[in-house]
Parts: sequence; C-alpha cells; structure tokens
Amino acid sequence: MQTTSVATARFTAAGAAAGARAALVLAPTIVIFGATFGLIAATAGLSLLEATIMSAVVCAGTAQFAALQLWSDPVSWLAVGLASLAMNARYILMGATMRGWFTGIPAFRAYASLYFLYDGNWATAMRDRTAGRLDAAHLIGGGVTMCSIWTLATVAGHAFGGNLGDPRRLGLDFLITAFFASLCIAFWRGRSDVVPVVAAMAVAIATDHLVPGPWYIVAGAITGCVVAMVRYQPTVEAKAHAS
Amino acid sequence: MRPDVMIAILAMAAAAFTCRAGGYFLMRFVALTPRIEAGLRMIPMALVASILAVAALKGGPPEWAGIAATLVIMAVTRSDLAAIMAGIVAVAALRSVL
Repeated sequence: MQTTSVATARFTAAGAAAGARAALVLAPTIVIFGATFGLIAATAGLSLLEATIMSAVVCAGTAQFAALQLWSDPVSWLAVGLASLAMNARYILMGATMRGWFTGIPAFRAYASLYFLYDGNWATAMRDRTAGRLDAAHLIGGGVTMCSIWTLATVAGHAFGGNLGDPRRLGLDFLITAFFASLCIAFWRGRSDVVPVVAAMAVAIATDHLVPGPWYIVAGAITGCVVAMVRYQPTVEAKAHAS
Repeated sequence: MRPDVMIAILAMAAAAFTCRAGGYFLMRFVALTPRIEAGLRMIPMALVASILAVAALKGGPPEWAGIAATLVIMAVTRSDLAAIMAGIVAVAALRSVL
C-alpha cells in the first residue's frame, strides 16, 4: 500500500520489529564493548549485580566507562551523575531531531522511546525515515534490543573478568584510556576544535592539581563547551540564508 | 547491592534520561540556537580530551606509547576495536620490557 500523506506517525509492532532487526547489525560491537565494560567493572570493584543493574538502567557506554574512571568507595553520585550528563549531552541534539517523529502519538510512548535513545538506533531510525518509512516505533524496537544485548554482554564480561589474573600485566587497566583516545579521534571535527580542546585540557590539568577527585573532567568539559560557544561564528552561508 | 552504588546508578540514569528527553522536550518551546548547539557538540570531545590529558600526565612511557598507538591506529583505520587493541598491546609490551 502506498500512502504519500501521513498526518500522524504510526507506532506499530511491525515498526518496532524493523527497528530491532536494524539494531542486530550493531550486535557484535555492542557485545565486545559490553563485555569489556563488565570486565573492567569487575576489576573496579562492582559486583555482578551492580554492574548488571547499571548496564540495564543507564545503558550509556561512554558514561559508564567514564564512571569507572571516577569510581571510588564510597562512590560520589554527584561526580558520576555529572559525568553522565556531560557524556550524554549529545542526545539533547538527537532528541531534538525526534520532535517531528511523534506528532499525534501519546507523550508516554514518545518519552518511553526516548529512554532508549542511543546513537545506533537514532541513526537507523533516521535512515528509515529518509527512506520514507515513518513508523515511530522503530526507535524503541531498536533501543530495547540494544539495551538487552548490552546488559547480557556486561554479565558475560563480569563473570569472565575474575579469571584473568593481574589486569595490569595484560595492560587491561589501560583499556579505558585507550577507549577515550579512540573517541578523541572519532569526535574530532577539524581545526575549529583545537582551541576549545586545548583550553579544556589546560583547565583539566590545573583543576586536577588543585582539587582532588574527578572534578577535572567536569571542569574540562564545561570549559570546552563555553569556549566553543564564545568562539562560535555563523558561517557566511548561514548568514546569507538568514537574511 | 551497596546503597551508595544504587544512588550513583540512579543519578547516572536520571542524567542520561534528562539528556535523551530534554532536547525533545525543549523543542516544544524554543529552537536550539546554533551557538548553543556548537557548545553542546563540543562537550564529549572536551571531556575525553580532559581525561586523556590527565592520564598522559600521570602515566609514564608505556602509557604515552599506548595513547600514541591508539590515536594513530584509530586515525588510520577508523576502527575503535583495532585502535584499542593496539594501545593495550603497546602498553603491555613496554611494561614487560621496562
């Protein structure tokens, strides 16, 4: 059936299934990173139950790895909460692009879907929408699938983690740092990043000297954000469009 | 299940949901200005660079080599798994030698 004018979006089981199938392509990557998280969480002192609940409830890879970097006993909820806020800030932008998706769909379904908003299902949902398939349940179908895989992989990684011996000898304590180094390249967008990044690093190093604990990460992230906003210049094209 | 860990997990989840639902919610009232968008886009990069800067400062030659190996392999292959493996191998190798 071909319909060209769709007033309100659909939200069907078939749409959720399409989202779940699309997410399966990402399964190998999610399994590897989820298992890695479980393994590192075990060496950081989280119990199997704690690591599993964190993966199931938070389900944010970068934020969870950042939390392990900040882990202490007892753990500061403010520090890991702020790290989660900073790491997930990109979803503010992705969520904003979802506004047009849920027209005419009950708010409960929209916000339940957004609870499961990740990079992967956002991308496959966008792809589907560009191709003209407008079922809004794609997002939650893909998201629940991804979160389930991530949580199961965490369990496997944690269970395996205890049998590896000294993590330092194998270089496994370096895994989080390497993960962030790889993200550094993935996030890099060009020369306009240089000044905010250098400012963030300088403030982070200074803060680390002055204030004990993980606050240097928050200070660096805020510095980068503020510097990027101050230095923002509309492009010539954007100005031409605006006038 | 320790209470401080439970509270930390809930704080992380609340922060994550605030971000995931916040942009969608705000679009009811305001448009994200390009300036605010530029600031938000910078946050993940700035956070990661901050962690790396302090990790590099606290580390020694094995960690420096590991970070360099990860950055180079990631820039060349664009595969995060290959880059992370390279970094870990570099660190483990240098630690066994030094």
